[in-house]
Amino acid sequence: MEKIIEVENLTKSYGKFKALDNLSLYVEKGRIFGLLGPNGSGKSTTINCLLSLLNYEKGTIKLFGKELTPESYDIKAKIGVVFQDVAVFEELTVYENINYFCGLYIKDKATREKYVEDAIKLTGLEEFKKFRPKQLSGGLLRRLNIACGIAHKPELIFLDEPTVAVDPQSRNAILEGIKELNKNGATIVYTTHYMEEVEQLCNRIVIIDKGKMIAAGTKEELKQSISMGEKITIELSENANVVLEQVKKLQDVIEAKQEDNTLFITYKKGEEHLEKLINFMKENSIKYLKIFSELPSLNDVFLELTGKELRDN
Amino acid sequence: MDKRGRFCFVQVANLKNIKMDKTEPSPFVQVRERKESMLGHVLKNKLNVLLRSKSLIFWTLIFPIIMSTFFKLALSNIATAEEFDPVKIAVIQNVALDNEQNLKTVIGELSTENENQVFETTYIDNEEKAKEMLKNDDISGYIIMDENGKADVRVKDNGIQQTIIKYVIDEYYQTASAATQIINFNPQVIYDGTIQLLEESKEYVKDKTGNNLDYCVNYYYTAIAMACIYGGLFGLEAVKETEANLSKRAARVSVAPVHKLKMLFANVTAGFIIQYIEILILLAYIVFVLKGNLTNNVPWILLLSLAGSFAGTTFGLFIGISNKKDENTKVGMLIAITMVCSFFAGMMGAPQMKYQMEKLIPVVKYNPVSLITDGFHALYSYITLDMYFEKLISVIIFSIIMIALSYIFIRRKKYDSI
Repeated sequence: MEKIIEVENLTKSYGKFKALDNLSLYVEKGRIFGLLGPNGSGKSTTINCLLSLLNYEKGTIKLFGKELTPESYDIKAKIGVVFQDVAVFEELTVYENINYFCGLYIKDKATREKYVEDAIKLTGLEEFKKFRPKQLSGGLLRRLNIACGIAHKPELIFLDEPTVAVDPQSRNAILEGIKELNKNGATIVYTTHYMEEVEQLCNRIVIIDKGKMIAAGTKEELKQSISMGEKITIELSENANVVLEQVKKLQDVIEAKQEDNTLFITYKKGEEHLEKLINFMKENSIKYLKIFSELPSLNDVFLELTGKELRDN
Repeated sequence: MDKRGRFCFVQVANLKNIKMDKTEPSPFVQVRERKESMLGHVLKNKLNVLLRSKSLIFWTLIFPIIMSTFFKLALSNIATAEEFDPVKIAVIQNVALDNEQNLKTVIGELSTENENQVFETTYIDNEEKAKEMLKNDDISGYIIMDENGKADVRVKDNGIQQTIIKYVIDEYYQTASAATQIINFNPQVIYDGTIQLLEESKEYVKDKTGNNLDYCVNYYYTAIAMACIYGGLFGLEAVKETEANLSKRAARVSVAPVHKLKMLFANVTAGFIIQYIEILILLAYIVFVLKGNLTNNVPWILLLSLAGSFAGTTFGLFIGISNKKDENTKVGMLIAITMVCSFFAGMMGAPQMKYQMEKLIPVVKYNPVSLITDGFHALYSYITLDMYFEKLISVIIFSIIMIALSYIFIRRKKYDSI
């Protein structure tokens, strides 16, 4: 598959602080690529280097097979960017804002008008066309920010944490919109520290921490790459009598801990353990209310690889 | 996907349903392309933004209007009250004064009782008597020839009357020196009439010191000049739209297929247009509402205002591009510099304070607010336009320097951090 972005050994420092450390990655055409990492891990710096907004000490970056320079107008015309901070004019209405930024790419007025309407429709801002940004809620403002970045229908879209501080309704609308953009042919580069979004959206994921890539692959590949296989949570009845030490000795158990009436058991990768565990509970007359099993999340991947939670940072 | 490789959200037409009848024009050819230039698009949008920006409009239009109104209210009484008692002086009669016939003539003319009388002069033959008169406040100052044969002004206090005496004497020597140099360089000028300069200077001195001076006008000129340089806020605003380290909007623009200099040019042009319109509104307010007598040379005032607005916009451009401070710091810098320049241009004190400042620190004469103010003054005070053009050209040179310096800084394309 054609690679739209190729990054080799990218290194960038802010003074003595190394923000990116020999980062290499690639993005294939038509994919939704997720760049996952905690706050301060170097996601935005990566995007800004890719967009040629920041100097960097070392490495090569190619977009559409070429190096992006300030004068690469042919490449720039194919790119749309949605920055983490809302970047619109407070003085202009929703429609005027989108029209302005779209106009930096599309000269023909009729085409532009249509594109602007399409972007408004995609982001669900039809009822707010004449609103000024300060009249919009945080979620709607984020949607406007996205509309301004994608109205010109770019082939490659960078979305830098577009759902930060957004209500669930707007978040869903934004995620659905991104899927729609991808369905219509756009390649998406999506940065976030919300693993659920990455799991929901992305075909390929790179996890970075402290400027270094710590894992890459599809979400299934990433989950396969760690030793953890299954997490079982048991809600015990009040008079349950559990010997935690016995549970810990069960086959393939990595960790078992009890908090109040809830028992958390982490198993190694391998066969399914739920049936065996239920049998164990019956044999030892341990009464429980609920029991459920889940596969590892990307947070678990991050936890195992770095020793810390994604959202701790 | 469309022909340009873009994907489409909405299916525009079902091609199967379009009958390609050759006798009828294709439905697509009826759609006329209405292309808009990038420059026009950015300019139109920026005008829209700037006109709706309340803080910008306040600083660049409302604030100068408030200042002008304040001056009118505060100074109109002073102007009336000081209309106009001639300054009482004594002149020590001696041989040295007899040798300075031109000075004697000037003082004599300025002391002639008529509507333009500047001095009420008492001629006395010894300095002790003059000192006594000064001590008793019978005179504001006296003029005595020193050992080099040059007139010296002795005063007890500092005030407007004392400044007028000093001003007349200084102006006399400056003009006399200029005329002497011209004559030495080319004696023919005497016959060509260039020496009329001296005569004109006499008019200038009368006007500067005399009863034609409307106190408010000084302040109006400075207020207009200040408003011109406050146009720097528009220059700063233009930079904010193009420098990615200053705003996320600029970062968004930086990744768009638009030439950075074109973008900057469109933004600066929009700022300059609005700035000049605001200056015209301010001028109209001063002339029609405050009844300020700015002079009849309207085209020249408009021209200098135009150059001044340009100087202001380019000054803001330079402040915006030349340093890495954040936006608020830059705005603070611009306002502070403009206020200091306005102070030196005469806004914060009586005209004599400006005069004394310029004597003390000559370089303050070349600050942009002073240059513009002095240009307006030249229209008001001089018969010829030489001084006006000198100031106008200085303002234009200032703008060119600002543009050149800005160009050097803007060549940086990437940032260490944004």
